[in-house]
Amino acid sequence: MEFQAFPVNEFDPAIKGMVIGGVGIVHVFLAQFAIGGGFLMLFFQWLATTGRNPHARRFLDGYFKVLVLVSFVLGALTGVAMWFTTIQISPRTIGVMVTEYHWIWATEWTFFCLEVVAGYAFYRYGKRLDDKSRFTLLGLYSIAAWFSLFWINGILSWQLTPGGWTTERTVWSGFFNPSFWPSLIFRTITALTIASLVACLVITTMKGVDRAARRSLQNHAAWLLAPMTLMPLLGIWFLAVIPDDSRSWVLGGSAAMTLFMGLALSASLLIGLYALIGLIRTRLFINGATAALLLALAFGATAAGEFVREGVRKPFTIREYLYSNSIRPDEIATLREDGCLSVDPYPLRNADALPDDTLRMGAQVYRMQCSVCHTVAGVNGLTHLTGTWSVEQKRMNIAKLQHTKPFMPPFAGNAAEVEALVQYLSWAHDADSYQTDTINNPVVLSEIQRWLDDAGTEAGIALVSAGKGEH
Amino acid sequence: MLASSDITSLPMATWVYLVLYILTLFVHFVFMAYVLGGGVYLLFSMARTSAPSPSQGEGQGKGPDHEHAAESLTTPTNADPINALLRDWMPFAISAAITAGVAPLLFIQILYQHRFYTANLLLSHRWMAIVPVLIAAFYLAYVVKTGRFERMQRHWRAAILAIVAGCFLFVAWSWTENHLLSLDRARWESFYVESRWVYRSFEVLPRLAMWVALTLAIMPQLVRWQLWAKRERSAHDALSQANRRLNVISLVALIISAALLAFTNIPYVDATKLPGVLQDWVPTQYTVGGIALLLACLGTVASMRGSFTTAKLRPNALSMLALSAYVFAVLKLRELHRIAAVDFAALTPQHETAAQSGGVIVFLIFTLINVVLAGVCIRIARRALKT
Repeated sequence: MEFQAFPVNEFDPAIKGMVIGGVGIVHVFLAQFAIGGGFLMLFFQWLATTGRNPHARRFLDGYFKVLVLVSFVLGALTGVAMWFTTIQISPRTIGVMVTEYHWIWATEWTFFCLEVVAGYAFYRYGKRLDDKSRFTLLGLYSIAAWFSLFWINGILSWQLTPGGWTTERTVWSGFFNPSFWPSLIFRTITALTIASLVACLVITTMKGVDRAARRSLQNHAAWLLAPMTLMPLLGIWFLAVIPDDSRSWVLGGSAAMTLFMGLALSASLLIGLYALIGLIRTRLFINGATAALLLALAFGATAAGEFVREGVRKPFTIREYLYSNSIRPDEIATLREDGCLSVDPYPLRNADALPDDTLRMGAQVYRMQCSVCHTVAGVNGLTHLTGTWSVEQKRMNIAKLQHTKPFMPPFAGNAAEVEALVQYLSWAHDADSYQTDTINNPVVLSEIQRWLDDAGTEAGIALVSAGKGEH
Repeated sequence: MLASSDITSLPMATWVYLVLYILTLFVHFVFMAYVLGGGVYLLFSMARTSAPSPSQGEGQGKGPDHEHAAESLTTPTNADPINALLRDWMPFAISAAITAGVAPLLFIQILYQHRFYTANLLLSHRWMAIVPVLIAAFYLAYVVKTGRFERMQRHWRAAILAIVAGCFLFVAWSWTENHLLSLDRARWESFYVESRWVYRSFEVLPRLAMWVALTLAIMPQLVRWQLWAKRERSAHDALSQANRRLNVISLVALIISAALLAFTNIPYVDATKLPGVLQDWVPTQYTVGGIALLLACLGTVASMRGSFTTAKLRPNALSMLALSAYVFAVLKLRELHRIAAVDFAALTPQHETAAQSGGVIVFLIFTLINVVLAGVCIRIARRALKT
């Protein structure tokens, strides 16, 4: 079996999901601001050119400066950070993504280049240009920014709904996957929303223009909020095409998923209603505090939405291809035979802190199979989750992991490794509960083996779909 | 297992990824040279800049025209046109360097996936620190561009420039360590167990110094082209002086870099460990690199005297081309050294697997379209410059 092990870093007491989630949410928010910002500026350039708003050009130049300072710096670098963070969290996942989609990424990169060239040309020389040239530059910038979304959206949506890729293994069968279009349109509207709300905030900081002028600018910016009315339909479309089990998590199957979905929906609803009634219908002027609050709500909605998008992939990082712990479904059977530690060359850090080899082995199993989503005693800590379980329960629940919780991957190791992990977790929870030498007890091991065999190697979500679960 | 030296030819996929990696790395390196070399230059030029008098600071940075310090090339507090240009273009150069850096970052993940990822993971937080460090440098570069920066006290300006240059040096150091650690397979386990964040090797410092010196050889050549483009709107004496200074810096840095290269293991490639088809490449790179180095030095000396006239274009172009050829030769030697150091035969099947994924046609089409569109943007910008 070709299994390339990587050194594992831990971020206790935080879980890795918080690290990549934190970076990811900031990056997505900024990137969507850049994309929507392009269209917003194009719209304002049109307003200026056609004389529909005499202050449009002045606003546009100030807004672009904000966009450059925020998006070109933070947006670009958090993009690089996403790549590096993904390597830190799951090198196998990013490895598969790069191997399969590097030409798509390379294509996206050509659009980044165009975005930078068009953006800086406008930034440096925009004030000296005629309206037509400004419109051209902003148009190219907008197209380039939107296409960067187009390309990355195909890769990200493929992770959840690989579609025909699972059988055909071709780039385009994975790229144009079932959730590609609803995701793309939804993200485009989100981008317009963020850009519009940032504009409302920037407008409140403009000097030398009166309230009426600001209000007219805000009312124009608010037009980009109008497509939010399509969001419910897109949300339904998205839910309809994602896998059944994923849909069930957000519709009550998982309290956390449902809660975050609710938060995203509520925040979006609040923004949408305020936009439609307050900004578009009654043409209100909003002050800086309100604009900032709306923007904060949009950030909250983005954060919750991204949490849900990442969460509903469980137990996979690439649906049906790679589990969250970077083990492929087709590798489970071999790892059950040979043991997962047979493919991990990296010794344990701080091994001396553990009293014996069983616990050291358990810690290594934890590191390889659990640490990507859990900590020992911090966030999502295993000692909290399993603290009330008896040793017997732990053995069975871990051996039959995908039956215990269908969003968990099957345990990918042998009976001795299950027992080592059980004893490590018991010891970490309460050192006195540690039972020595059970790892050599044939009765214990044979019982664990029976549970492992009962559980099989199939994913828990597949068992639920097929009605084979024991719940 | 097949040894790398047993392979007589490389798959087309490997060639494609290697060529694209080196080409895009070269482009990234050019922009990076502007950023790192420029950052170091700005820091040292601070020592030569006088403190602003109160009257000189007035009015600076208040109007839109002061956003681009180099538009008039000289400012009351800064008579050095090189300094003004670098300050003005630094944010764009950083943006371009980062964007250009994405492509080699992509191709290295195909060529040496496991080693690259492992080095990233081993360096861990230290490696990830390059992101906030770059963000800090980027924003400070915008501060350096403003008129407000000119009005600052000298020690504040020095501190900001030191941070900017320090940030870029930190990133360069991190990349050097990452590269060397990825090749040092024997150290991986111990490095991990000891939770080290710094890779210690006799190779790190000379390599880092060599690359930094090379950036200081390239940056002046780029700035000279920028000055040449502005020659009609600038004072003749100031430009001639700047030209001489840039040539001296470039020449000295190039010689130092070439000397330092001998202290790294880059030129000492064990050709017997290379795939057969690449074994002849080593002497070729020595020859090309040596000739290019000589021509770059001669070209720089030739263009050292006088002002920026059309007649000076030839030596300028010669030194630039020769310097590019030299950098290419060094980059290729560096890659040959890496290929010899790893089990390259085991990697080529992965390249072939990656090549089977589609999308290359789409990439080529959009590359062409976007190059044309970028050209349209540049044309529009040039038109603005003429007005």
